[in-house]
Amino acid sequence: MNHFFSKLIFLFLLALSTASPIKHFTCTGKAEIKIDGHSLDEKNLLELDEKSLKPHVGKHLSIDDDVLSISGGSWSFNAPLHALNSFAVLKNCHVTAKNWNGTIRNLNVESVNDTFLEGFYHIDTINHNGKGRLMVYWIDDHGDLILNASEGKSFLAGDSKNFVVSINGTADVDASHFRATKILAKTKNNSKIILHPLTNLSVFAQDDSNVIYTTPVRQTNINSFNKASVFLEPLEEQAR
Amino acid sequence: MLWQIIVVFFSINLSLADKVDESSMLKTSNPKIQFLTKYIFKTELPSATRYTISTDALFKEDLSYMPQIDQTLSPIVEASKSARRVLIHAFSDAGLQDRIGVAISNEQAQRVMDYLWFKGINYNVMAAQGMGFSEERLLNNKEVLGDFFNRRIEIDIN
Repeated sequence: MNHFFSKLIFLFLLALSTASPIKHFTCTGKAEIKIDGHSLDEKNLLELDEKSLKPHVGKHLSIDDDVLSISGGSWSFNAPLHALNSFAVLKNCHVTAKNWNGTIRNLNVESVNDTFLEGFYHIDTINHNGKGRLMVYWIDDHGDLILNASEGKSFLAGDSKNFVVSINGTADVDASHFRATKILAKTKNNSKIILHPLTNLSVFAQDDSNVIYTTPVRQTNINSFNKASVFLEPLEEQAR
Repeated sequence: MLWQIIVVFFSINLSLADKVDESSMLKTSNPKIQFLTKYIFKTELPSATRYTISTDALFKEDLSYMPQIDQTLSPIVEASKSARRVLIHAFSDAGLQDRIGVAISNEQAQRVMDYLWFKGINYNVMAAQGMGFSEERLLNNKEVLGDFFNRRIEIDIN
């Protein structure tokens, strides 16, 4: 019995001493971030956990519990299956991710630079309020994806059950390759969006906004106010 | 002269009939029920406040929104702004008792949810479902003029 308890205490201490994963990632300043899901080609990639990042804490990198903040420099990470509660790309930060099978609860992009995420992603919410471009390819989501954008160009590709999108300002969203069973869209000001609904489309377009949907769907609830336009424009069939 | 008297008589009768209808609708024997307009009443339930709206006040026949939907839903929008949960159930009248009734009421419930989202209510706190036909049990049907409130949307806010 004593042996069992000592084993239990040992395992508990082991769990405490092992690396705790980063849950919140903030990139700001003029930083360059590369995230790779495969570590086959490149060496010296950093793991997204507290233990392996501790030696690099300094001027441009800080860790506070499970929060990683990067404010400058070039950094390369290995994150094959990493889940983040929040990922914020701010100011001049430039992010490129490849082969990352990532789960991101809140992706917040406010950078003037580009954010390119390639791989397979499960994302709950995207806020895009920066001048830089955002590309997420491929989103594989069986629940809801919520997108709020006010500027910059966003390109999304993938599948989702529900796509709830709210855009204003000068946001330009190309979701023509993002298929969603139900799409709920609200557009304002001079924003533009291309959508790919599968069965249900609800649109509330206001001001001078422009909504294009690429597939004719059975259930449409289209409401346009002021000079806003909503129209169907099927994607051109590619020559085979 | 005679036909003028007849016309005046009938027009007075018709306008009185309208008033009688409306007043009978706005009176209920249940003190927990409060009519906000003739199309919408509010009920305090133990766990939520329920707003019951006549579907006819929200949708046209093709399920597009009525022009006055903003005004009709404004008390619900106000009440939902700080809500933790907004549950929307749509019901059809006795004429649509099969799967079509469920499908149409489901579409109506979804459209109400979409409109509330458009007016600024958080998408994550809302859920919508079509229930098909279910007789109105809160009020005596004589008080609410038959099918008028069987074709209804119930919005529970808490």
